[in-house]
Amino acid sequence: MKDADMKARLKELYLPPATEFVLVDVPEMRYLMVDGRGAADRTALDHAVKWLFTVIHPIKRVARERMGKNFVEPPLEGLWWADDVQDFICGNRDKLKWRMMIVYEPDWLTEEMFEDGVAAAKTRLGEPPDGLRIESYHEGLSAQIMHVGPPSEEGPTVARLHQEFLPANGLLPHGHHHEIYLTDPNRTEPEKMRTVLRQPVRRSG
Amino acid sequence: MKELTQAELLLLGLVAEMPRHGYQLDQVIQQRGMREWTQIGFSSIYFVLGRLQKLGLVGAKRPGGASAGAKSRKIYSITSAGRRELAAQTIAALREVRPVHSSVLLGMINWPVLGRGQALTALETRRSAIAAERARLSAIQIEQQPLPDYVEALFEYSLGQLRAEAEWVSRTLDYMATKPWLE
Repeated sequence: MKDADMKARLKELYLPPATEFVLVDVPEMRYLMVDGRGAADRTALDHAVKWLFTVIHPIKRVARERMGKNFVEPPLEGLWWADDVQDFICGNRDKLKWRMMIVYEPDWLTEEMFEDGVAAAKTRLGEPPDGLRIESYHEGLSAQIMHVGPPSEEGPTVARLHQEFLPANGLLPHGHHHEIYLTDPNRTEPEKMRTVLRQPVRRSG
Repeated sequence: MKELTQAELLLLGLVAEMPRHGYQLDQVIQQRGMREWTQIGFSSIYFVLGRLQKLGLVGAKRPGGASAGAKSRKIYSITSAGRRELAAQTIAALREVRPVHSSVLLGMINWPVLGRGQALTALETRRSAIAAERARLSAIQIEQQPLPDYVEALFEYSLGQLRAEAEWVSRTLDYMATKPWLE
């Protein structure tokens, strides 16, 4: 993705209305990512998040200087799924799988900058989590909405997406449940937290 | 209303983020390294909260409605008057330029009382101290990742000031070290 596209794209992709589901076409983007499983105990998840932000810190500094007002702080994003969809629906947190990620764009960010970021982070955090990498991900057509409130209370909205919005629009889920965390839980009261809920879809039939 | 002190403004900002217990306020102040740039001890947290309460800017509730109990169990939250006052004082803090006068000004004005060697050594020591401070701040910044963008900007402000000062010291040292010295 080019510098000038970043801001407009991110605005469209990361600021859906809170009142209704909307469809967006999410382009292929590179992400810095770490996979893990289980969320009942947050240790591995918190460790992964710490690593992502520590690796990307020096890279953001370069990007901020080079891009000026085109620069946008990339938020933390998470994909969530389970081998057995029942575990996902019932919220069995120890059975959930997750992928924590941060957008790694625009296109001039290199593998080498990533390697340097990892080397610098090692001096603080020790060995990186398994599978820390840059990977492209293309969600394409997706339904999304802004969830206002604690992420733990997104259940009814997700249910409404799958039981009402998708069937009413002839859509089927086609990819992992995606959350984009726009607010810092340590600085925001739970009722005011904002999370983008995104579900990649395909047209049925 | 008169201007709030730094400690008052800081605590008002923290209860504006979300209602918090006294001990949580202490933890947050600790985690964010706020003691470094404000004069606020654990015991003075309650003193400052008490003052904010008297001014009607902060309210305190005990969970469960019990009338007695340790003050650390109270939950403090901002009132609507508190929110207005916080906004007004934040605007003032952002708008106003209040130069802080560094000791280096006094050092430079009395430069001639020193011999060349003494003066240059003192400035060189300043240069190392600035480098150490930049490294220290950068380390805190990275340890506290992730930070919201406005806090990143706060760190960039402090680091930028130090960078400007480092450039000034180097330029001044270069000049003073090479000019023909009149003893």
